[in-house]
Amino acid sequence: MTPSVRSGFPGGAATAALVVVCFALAAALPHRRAETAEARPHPMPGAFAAAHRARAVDAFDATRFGRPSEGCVSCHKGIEDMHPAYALSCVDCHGGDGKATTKEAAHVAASKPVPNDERVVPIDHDLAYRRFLNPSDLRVAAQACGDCHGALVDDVKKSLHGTTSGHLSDGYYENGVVKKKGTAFGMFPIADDDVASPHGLRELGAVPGFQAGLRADEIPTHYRDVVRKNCMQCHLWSRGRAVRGRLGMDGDYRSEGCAACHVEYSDEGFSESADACANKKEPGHPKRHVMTSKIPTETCTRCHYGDASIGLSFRGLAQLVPGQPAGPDVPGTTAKRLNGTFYVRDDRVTPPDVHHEKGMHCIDCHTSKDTMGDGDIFPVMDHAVEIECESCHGTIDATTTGVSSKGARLSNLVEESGAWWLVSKVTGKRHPVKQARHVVDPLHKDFNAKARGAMTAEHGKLECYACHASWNPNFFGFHFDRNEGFTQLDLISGQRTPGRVNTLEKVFSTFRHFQMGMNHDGKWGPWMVGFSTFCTAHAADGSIVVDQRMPATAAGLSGMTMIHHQTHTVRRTSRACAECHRSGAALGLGSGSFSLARGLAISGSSRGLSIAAVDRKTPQQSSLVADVPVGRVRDVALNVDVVQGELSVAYAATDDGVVVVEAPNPAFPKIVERLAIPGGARAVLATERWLYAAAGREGVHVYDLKQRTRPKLAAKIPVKDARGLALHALTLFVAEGAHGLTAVDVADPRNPAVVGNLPIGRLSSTDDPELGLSKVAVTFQFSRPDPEEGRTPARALAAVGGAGVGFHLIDVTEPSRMGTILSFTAENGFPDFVGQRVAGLALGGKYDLGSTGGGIPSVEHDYAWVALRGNDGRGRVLVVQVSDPYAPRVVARTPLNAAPTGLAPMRVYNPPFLTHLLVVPTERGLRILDVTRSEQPTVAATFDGPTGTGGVAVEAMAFDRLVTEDGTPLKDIAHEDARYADAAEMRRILRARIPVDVPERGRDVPADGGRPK
Amino acid sequence: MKIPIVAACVLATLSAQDVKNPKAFLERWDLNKNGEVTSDEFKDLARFRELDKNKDGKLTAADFVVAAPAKKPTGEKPTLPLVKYEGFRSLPRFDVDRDGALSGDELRLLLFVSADRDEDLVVTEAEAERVPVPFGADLRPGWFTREWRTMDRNDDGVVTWSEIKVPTAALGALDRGRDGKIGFDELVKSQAAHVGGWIPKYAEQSAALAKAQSVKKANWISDPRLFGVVDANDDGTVSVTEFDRYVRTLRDALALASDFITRFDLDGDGRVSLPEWGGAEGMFGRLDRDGDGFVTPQDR
Repeated sequence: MTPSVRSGFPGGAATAALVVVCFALAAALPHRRAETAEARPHPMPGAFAAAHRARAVDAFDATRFGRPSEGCVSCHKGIEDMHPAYALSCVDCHGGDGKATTKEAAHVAASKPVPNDERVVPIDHDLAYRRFLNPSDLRVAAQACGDCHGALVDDVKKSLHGTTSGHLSDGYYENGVVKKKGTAFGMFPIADDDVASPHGLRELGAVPGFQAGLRADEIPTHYRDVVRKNCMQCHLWSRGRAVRGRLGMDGDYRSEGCAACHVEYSDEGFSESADACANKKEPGHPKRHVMTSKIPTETCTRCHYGDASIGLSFRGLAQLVPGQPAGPDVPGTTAKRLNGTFYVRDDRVTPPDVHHEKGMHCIDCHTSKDTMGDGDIFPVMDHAVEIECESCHGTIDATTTGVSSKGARLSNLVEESGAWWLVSKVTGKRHPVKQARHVVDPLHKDFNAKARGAMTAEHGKLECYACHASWNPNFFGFHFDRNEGFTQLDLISGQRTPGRVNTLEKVFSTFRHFQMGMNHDGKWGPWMVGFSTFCTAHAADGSIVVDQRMPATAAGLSGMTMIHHQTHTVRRTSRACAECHRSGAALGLGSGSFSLARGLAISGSSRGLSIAAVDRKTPQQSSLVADVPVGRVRDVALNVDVVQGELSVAYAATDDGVVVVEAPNPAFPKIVERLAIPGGARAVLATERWLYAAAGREGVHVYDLKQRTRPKLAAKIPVKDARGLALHALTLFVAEGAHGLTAVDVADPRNPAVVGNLPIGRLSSTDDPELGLSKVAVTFQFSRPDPEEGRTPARALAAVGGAGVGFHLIDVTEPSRMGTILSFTAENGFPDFVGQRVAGLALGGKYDLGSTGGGIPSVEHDYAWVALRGNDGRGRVLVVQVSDPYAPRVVARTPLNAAPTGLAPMRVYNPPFLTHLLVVPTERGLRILDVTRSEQPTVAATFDGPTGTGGVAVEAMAFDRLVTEDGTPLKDIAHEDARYADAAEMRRILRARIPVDVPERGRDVPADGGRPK
Repeated sequence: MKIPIVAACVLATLSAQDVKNPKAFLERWDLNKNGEVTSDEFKDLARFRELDKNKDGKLTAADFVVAAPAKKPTGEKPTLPLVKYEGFRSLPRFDVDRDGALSGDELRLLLFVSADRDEDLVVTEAEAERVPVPFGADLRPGWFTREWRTMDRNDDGVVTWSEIKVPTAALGALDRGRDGKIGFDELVKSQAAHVGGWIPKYAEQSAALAKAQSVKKANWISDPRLFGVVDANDDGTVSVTEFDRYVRTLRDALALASDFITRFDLDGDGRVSLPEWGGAEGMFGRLDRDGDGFVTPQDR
């Protein structure tokens, strides 16, 4: 889950503004001006008085302040002055009796039981006592602080830090609890009768709770419980889970109310105060009895950690991949636990934001309005934050004017002699602030030629961090589990109720993957996984009532979505042009690597189309559900439903053409259409709207799937021998037998255009017509941070193979200029492919977990999984690491006792871990391999059954496929003003001219084309 | 120490990956000369696993022994692609035209490969005597021998592909629809009846056995006639193991059904319950669309 991703930013008040307010209020107060600090007894003896006199602070209003507190300091000897900006006594803030001589008489006693846990006590809970404990508690801050800070206290209550509105709204909409976007709930109901912003709200309602009696088989029923039990920790109305006295909450200890930001705690939560009464042994006490406006990043990250990842990302940390070894012995991870866990810390994966690296703190950028609000109630962060990159760095057209996006003067940004400097509000250090205008000015010393090539007017609608976000923690597929066999504390009601909720389960993990869309400001920027979560729920008797079901929004779209995000991972070196302009994944078309299998694998067999239900926990207990006699199947493609990712329609390439099988219930599939193609179809590929059939010499037939069960022929692509298909970034790649690899622009599938061809292998016309290229797979390799080079290369990578033509890696970043990177020949050190046919092929990424001793690192790798069949009726599956396609490695070989006829990855989730399977139909039945440990695959299941004839497809929910190629949303967007690229924008972006390095010549294909010996 | 090589050591098939000289290979890698090669000695783990044919965790001569080659074929090749018969589940491989039934040459092929045990493409009288009774057919062992004699038209002592025919008796026993084809659904029902039949009150019987681990006839819930079939060792008690084994047999018999309900309906009541499905609960929930606890034709 991701609480507080967008719940505002931490930071203290701008010192100058605070002082001005205080003095202004002081001037307005009816105080005895003539009484100087020396003449008037100071309410606090000793050092306090001396400090105030030294600063010549005007006398205070004795009618309102300065209540006697000598009794307090008689015990609390040495205590620091909490509020040196104005002479206040202990009693002025805390209440109690400052003249009393015993603790019991001096202190305010609790009138109600005091729960010391993470619940949020009611807004009116024992106010006098709460004031005594913490005068800045928002329940009482108006009384304690409001005399001077009244407006601010009011603002904070309405701020995102006070309401947590943002992270509540998104989740409720995405999980189907509410029907309207932006429906806003807050910690407590709150109203605003002077809304200034057009995006402000008049009120927030109370967080809805679990309602017994709702349907137990529906996700919204259970999601209502999630928020109130697990998400009500990061806000200003409680201390969260690091309550006083609770050990082991290192990094979490903090206060609540104003003190949550303005009072520092150490990581271990122990007091370092000089107060003689301070408990130095119990965690959960502030470092010292001091308020500060110099709020360091560490204070912000008391909440902004975990799934609220910006606090981690900024510091170059990231949550671990589930199961990832970490600790002092493991390089690339932290040595010490913080927030109860270790983190990834690896400059090749998660380098810190350059601003943090330079010594800046959160509040050096974020203004007081960002953190404390501006008086309006906002439903989400979009319009609540005023700081932008341009606020300090200007634009390519003009240097900064020193104001925020809302026109507020940035107090710590100063200009001297034409140069801009940011003075840290925390350290006082001066940081030079480069101006975008200067970076693109050839006459300026800050000129950067490469940057100038990208920072153009055409890119004017890009956020700076669209290119400069160096990595992005995306845990696709958050999963929550709710079990009514257990109870858990409802943090709002304070009651322990049935339903224990676990929100810590992540499915896929990636740090290098990049996606973008348009944000609320009409600008393109990175998108990230937000509150989207799918659900498993158990009844009280332990039975499963919801089994890994995906949420649907009121619009009928998937709630497993993403949202625009400032990653706080800025680095100097930007991403490569190709990462937006040649990557379908970047625009939300999906990468194939983050698809969660839903249970069925459909393959071609001697019985036609065979539908198997794969048991994700015990693959050997899988079942063959149904067969459809469609003729001899060569390949299979699927259309799945938008919300669950479950099979809707299957398309079988057969010797007669394409057979359309409808299977809303996989137990009862039925043939609904037969598309005749002379010579039959060799391969099929389906998107939500288009079906492509590789039909050998008939070329590629393109069908319109406006009616999924009634495809209509829309176009034919006249290639010479279409045998295999792959789609990437609006380009169809066709494995063309003896004629190599052909790229076809299908931005408009009705008007496809061949744009490139790469000959592969050398076959003569007298060769066996079955020889030639028949398989192709494509993936996009995003760049990664590289401390030496800035970033690793990015490219679109294709793997191709067949019979008699070997196996090759091709750079297809520029489809019109494809180039071979490497041919897998014996001469190149890859004898596995000699004499073998590629029967199945897939490309994708996965996270390989390292060793607990730290000797083997955890790394996000790219793999080609290849099913090879020999002439002896047997075969094998190779696992080929292609992270660097110029230096690939065959890391595993798994022999099969039968010839494979296809291969498809199948990723299943058995909490808390993701399992990577390969479904391999063979001539003797189905085989399922577990390739979770890439270098040690195992055969997880063997079914001797119908003979495989060709093709296999796995129904799956593609978490990163947000939109179709024609711009139709598949996943909803919880924010009103944000959107995906539309079809025209996709075309323009993916077809823009960019500089691309194409390999001139890869490692050679041998003279005989790698033919079988 | 020399490693003894079994005299019949012949490599069946050669590929670039196979070891050409097993003796030299074993001598080379048996570093401690104890007569076996372990993965500590031969460290290419993937290759080690490939070569360890008997999966005993070590490489010895036994891993390089292969069966003697098949006899050289003397008969003519069938006109359909040769398929090996490997039990009931392999029947779909014979359905060359993929019409969900076996007929004509498909049946002839099935009979031919079932009979031709030594794979020399001719069926001798000795082989004919050992042809098993077709699945569920009401025929006696040795049923094919008489028929074989009539097929050997040229009296050369063997029946070839062109001579073999599917005897009417066999066809009649299985072709219940009398359409000249033996559909998989027909086969399934015959086979199910042959192995003992369906299990009435399957769910209750299964639950009772799971609890008690074994039951005597007095406590047998299902059809009493089934008790003797399931009690494989005839000790008057049906154990969980025996019951599970019978269920697997029945599932194997039903597996070829084209219809989902026939395939999973263990108690023969025309619908499939969660215990009968036997697979993941989540998937059952998808199949049982109306949520009544059973997959029925109404769930289409």
